[in-house]
Amino acid sequence: MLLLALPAGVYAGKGTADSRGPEWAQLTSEQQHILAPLAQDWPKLEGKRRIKWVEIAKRYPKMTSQEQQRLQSRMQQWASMTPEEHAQVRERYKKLKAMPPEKREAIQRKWREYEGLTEAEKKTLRDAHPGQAPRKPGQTLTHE
Amino acid sequence: MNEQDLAKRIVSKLDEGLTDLSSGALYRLRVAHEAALSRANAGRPGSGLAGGAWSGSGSASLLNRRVLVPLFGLILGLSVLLFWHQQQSQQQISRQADYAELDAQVLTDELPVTAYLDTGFEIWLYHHTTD
Repeated sequence: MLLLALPAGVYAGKGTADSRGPEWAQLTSEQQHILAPLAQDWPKLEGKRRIKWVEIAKRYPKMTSQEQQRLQSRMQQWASMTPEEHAQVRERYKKLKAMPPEKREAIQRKWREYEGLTEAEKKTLRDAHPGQAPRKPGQTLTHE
Repeated sequence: MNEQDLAKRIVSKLDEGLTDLSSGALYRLRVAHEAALSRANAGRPGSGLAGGAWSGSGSASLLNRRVLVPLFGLILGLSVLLFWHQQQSQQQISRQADYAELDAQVLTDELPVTAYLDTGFEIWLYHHTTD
């Protein structure tokens, strides 16, 4: 009996919550509401990503309403990004967070200025200095 | 004298001899008799407790060598595999919880995710810094 139970346990662990994560239908209605922007992509998400989103959903009630809106508006874009892009963003975010508040504020101000540019101006910037963009993560947002 | 009479006279002579046997000789005869009966019973399958027990002990020994030892090894191997798998799962969940904390911060920060990957913004920062 034990002999039969052991491989069954291994299989169950491998095939369900641990490796594939919860199915959409297994989420609570509250989790489904929070993660609604991901509903279409959920079946394609890896198990570890599903687990991570559930963890993020647990933090949602403690966020401010502005943070909640930001999270939901950026969720889908984040889910569509590659692991390499995730790693790059995390790395740069950590460097930004380690900066003094005035530098962070300066970068945010520069972003608002950049957002005010037209698409043509942004394209000119991207094309005008092809090779000028710093290569290593962290060098980009730390020039200020 | 016919055969029947001869047999009766022999038996009578033997019976007379029995009364003359010493107690030691009687004891040895009784022990030999019981040993012969035990051996006879052991030869028959399922005959008597002693024979059954001896037979069961042999089977257990065989079972130990050919079945129980590999079975124990298999159970041990599967247990180790299960333990290792559970450890891996726990580590993965823990790692995802760490990512969840960081990603929640990234996704709720004032600076949007696109800012970190926009090469135009990198150039803008690098070449148009007025501070």
